[in-house]
Amino acid sequence: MEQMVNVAPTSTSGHFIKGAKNVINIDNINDTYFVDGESELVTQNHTTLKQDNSCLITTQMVFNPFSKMFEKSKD
Amino acid sequence: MKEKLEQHEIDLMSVVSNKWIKLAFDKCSDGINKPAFEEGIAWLYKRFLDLGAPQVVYCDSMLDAVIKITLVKDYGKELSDFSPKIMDAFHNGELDADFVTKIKENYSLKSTYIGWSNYGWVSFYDFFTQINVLNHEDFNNYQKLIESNVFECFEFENVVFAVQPPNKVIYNETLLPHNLEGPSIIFNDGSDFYHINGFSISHELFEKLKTNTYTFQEFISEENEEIKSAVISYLELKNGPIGVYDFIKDNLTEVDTFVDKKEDRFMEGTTKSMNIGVYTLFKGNINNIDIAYVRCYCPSTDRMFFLGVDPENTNAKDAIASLFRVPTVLKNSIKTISRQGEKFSIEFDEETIAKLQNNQFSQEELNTYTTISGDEYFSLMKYEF
Repeated sequence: MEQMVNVAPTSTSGHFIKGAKNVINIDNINDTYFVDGESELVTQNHTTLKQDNSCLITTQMVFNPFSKMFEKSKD
Repeated sequence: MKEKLEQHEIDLMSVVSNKWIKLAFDKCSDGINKPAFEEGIAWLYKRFLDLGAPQVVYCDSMLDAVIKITLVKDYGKELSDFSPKIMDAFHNGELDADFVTKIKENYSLKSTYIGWSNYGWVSFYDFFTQINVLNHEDFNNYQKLIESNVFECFEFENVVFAVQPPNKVIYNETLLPHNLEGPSIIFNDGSDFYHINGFSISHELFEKLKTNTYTFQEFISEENEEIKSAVISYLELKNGPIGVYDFIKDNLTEVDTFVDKKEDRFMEGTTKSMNIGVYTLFKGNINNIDIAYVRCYCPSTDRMFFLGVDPENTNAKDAIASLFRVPTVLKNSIKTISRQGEKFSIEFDEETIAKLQNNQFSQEELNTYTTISGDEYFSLMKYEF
């Protein structure tokens, strides 16, 4: 079975890289990954994103008005 | 090899599809077809494991199954030691912590190949069997097992725990579990689940929404954007756009709207809704705390989201862009940005990709982030799903 790497481990459903040559976690606090090679980003709640080239996956930040800080967006 | 479908075969596609949808959503109250399941599981054990037919324990819900499994597997008890009182104790938080941990671990033992989650791909091959493109004996036997309507299954060497399907599923026009008035999925043992257009929410949240006691303070304290979106969906479906307006009007004022209309080629895979690319900045104050949100719509589902932004923002375009982050060292070599929910996919020029492949950036460089302006963000944005 084809390996899928979850690039949103703190998300309820996860976002998964499929078909890449290599997936490297370069920042496990902000869930940033370098995806080497052509791949697909697959998840339950959104359309699959085809990625024709190597890319960097980063996470949306949202502002928490109580802490007055940005934090990782979760779904 | 068949290269083209005849009209009657094209017509059959929806017949086969509806057969499986009806099996799940309309015939679920009939429960598992026990003779079909027992014949199917006996075939499976013999064919692939060379084992005799296992004992079958029918369970009314997933929780019923994992409690029974935990008692027998982890505590050496007999099935006769099970009592519905254990279910009540679980719901009331009265069970021993180690027992609860084991229960949660045992959920992962369910098989992936027996149960409702297989209806999609099995219906696909069912169609090709019905038009005589396929006739695979093992698949045919397997399909009979799946068509017994077993919801989930836990298999062990000598025993299987077969979970009965829910006895009621209430769903929307896109066949997602959905009910604004009560549970959307109810099992035989009374356990129930709540969904807003397919998104699962807790019973507690549902009751608050239904009784209009869910507060704006709770909304902005919610960390999960999907739950916030489900709340907005509930309010909108229950009372129309005025329901959402009433919920936010005391705390938020519309400040600015930015519309990013994309070319048709970037709209493939989206709902193509008029809402796509419409960003509205709202600002307000609650308990002397300044708050600001950008309202936007998911291009894949058209669900409405309110994303928290720094109240210092003065326009919607920069506000939505301020949620994007990129390592500062890579900022000037971005070629395109795409997004899928809360994840961004960033493409860079070839030189930067080569450096990333060869580990030529330090950890510190890659962990130091910056933002980009609204103009930069939307000039680079390609696909949004």
